Amino acid sequence: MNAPQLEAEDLEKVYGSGENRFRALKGVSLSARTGDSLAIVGRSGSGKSTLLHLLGALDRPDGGRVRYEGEPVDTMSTRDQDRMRNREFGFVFQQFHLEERASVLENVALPMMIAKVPAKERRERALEVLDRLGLADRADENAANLSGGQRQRVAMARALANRPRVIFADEPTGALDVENGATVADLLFELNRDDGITLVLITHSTDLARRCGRRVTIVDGELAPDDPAATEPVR
Amino acid sequence: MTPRDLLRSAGRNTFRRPLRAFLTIVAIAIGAFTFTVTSGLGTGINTYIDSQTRAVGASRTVQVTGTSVMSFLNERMEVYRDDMDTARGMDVGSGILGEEDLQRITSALGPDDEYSANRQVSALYYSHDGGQRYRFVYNGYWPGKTANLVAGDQLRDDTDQAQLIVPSYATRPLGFASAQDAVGRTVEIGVLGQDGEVRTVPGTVVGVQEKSLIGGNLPFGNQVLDDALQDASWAGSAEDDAQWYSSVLVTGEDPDRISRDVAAQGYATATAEQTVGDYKSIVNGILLLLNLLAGVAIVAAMFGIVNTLMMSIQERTRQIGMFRALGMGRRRVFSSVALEAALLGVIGSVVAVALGVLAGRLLGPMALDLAGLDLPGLELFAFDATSLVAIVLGVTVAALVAALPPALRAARMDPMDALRENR
Repeated sequence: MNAPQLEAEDLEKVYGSGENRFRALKGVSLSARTGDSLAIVGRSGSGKSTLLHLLGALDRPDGGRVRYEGEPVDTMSTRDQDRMRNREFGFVFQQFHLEERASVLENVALPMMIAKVPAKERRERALEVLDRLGLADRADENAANLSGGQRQRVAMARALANRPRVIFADEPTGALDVENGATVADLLFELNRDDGITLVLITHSTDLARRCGRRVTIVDGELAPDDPAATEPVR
Repeated sequence: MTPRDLLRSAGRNTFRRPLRAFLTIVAIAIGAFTFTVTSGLGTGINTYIDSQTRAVGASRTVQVTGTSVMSFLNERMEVYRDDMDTARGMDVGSGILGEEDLQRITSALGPDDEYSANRQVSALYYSHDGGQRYRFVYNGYWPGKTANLVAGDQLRDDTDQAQLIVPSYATRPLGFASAQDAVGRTVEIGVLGQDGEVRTVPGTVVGVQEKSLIGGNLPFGNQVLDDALQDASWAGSAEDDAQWYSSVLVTGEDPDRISRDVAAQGYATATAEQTVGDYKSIVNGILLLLNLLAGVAIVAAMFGIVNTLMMSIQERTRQIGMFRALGMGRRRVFSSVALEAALLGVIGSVVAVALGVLAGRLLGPMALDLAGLDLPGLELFAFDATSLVAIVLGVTVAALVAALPPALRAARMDPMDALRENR
């Protein structure tokens, strides 16, 4: 139980080349244990989204390495990475990224469809998750007809559909009003607390960051020097 | 994703932009429609030609001539020998055969093969009961030839009656009330002899044959009539004159073998099958051209598919990237795009094949009427299921090939393509 579930070691990411070369991450190391809630904070362009993408195997680093459950992620095949994102991770983004033309249920069932879960079971499990997020009655509605808060809850339901062990959330409340933001945040921490799902969260909101077990601050692609929380969890 | 899920999402993506999907389908359908119509024409005409084979001549008979009668490229001259002065009025188009030739030809035959050497017949005209005379082409005697009759019976050789079969278009001009009326009546054939005198040879009409594209439009007779015509044509020649023949007809079990062996002696041979084959190769040449046009249409449609799918995946960059983020594999992305193309191909070609068959059925008879082609038994369009299925499959494969570049591009997309679009 003591080994970190998710580990970043000296991560580097470079965009562009020549004069446009931009080092988004300049050697970031951090780790999280199962059930942690980790807030990554920093200004726009500090590299926090890049860090989240690398941790969630959405992108590959140019230097350093990411380990999940001790396994180096960067040496995995694309297929294994796809599988890991599908089965182990859940993602929630600021812009929801829903299929507007599909129903709420279909959106939630999408990761299960990719995992080849049979249609009937897909429906049952999706309804179960929607019920938990208070959206069961909207299941057959088009995703495009929902309000922002509802959409983000649908996105969360989708992230939960395959029973992930880590949820990565990039500004999950960024596009929501205060009330809806609070509901979504409550749900995220409830999942973290009750289901033991590890939460890695990017946020501008100091409130949200404060509710996390740990916070790291990124400044210009590096962990802020005054941040002792980076590798040592403070509980 | 199960195949069913894949199909559903491909269907949804295909019709995301209904107008664009429709236009692409139209492009595919134009090519497939051309293929269908061409295939229908090919089957229709070739089936008809096959059905006419027996009207061309007995299938077991090989016609032997000095040079090919079918190929105008073989027209040529031959060395003149002094004894050829008795070959007056003979058709040089297919050359002439002398006794020496006859010996060489018969030496190449098998023991069971039968042959008859035909001398030039100079038939001038035929008429009925002193009525209007009509000049006609006499095409010689063909052992075992059967005609597609509208009235009467086939020719018989076990009789001493001089018989002939006349084409249906000739019955009224000759003065008969109908085809049925002509049967059993006598016509007189005027024949020019070597001495310059015209003699008439009587013949009994035993049958009337229906009009056809190949070999059904000339009067022809049985052996008794042919002998009489030959005798009249050569009347007045000296006993010791050299004998000349326009053709030799050989009948045997294996016409292909006869054809090969006699041709090896340097003579032109034609089996019924070869004669029909010549017609077929003309038809097939035209069909090849039409198929080529259809192919060009399909290639154009393929570019349409590439374009449509490229635009489609461009628009769906966010969606595809998101699917990848949620763990969809590159192969699934690839197959889903390929499936879209297959769907377009199948829909386009099935619609086109249906329309093509419908058009052929409706317009085929109309087109024959307009062209004034009154050929009994000719269906301009005939469709066989195998070719239609082959068209659908072929067009779908073409669509899949066209899907290759867009599908590869889609498969190369990363989750970051979705997230980056957001900025």
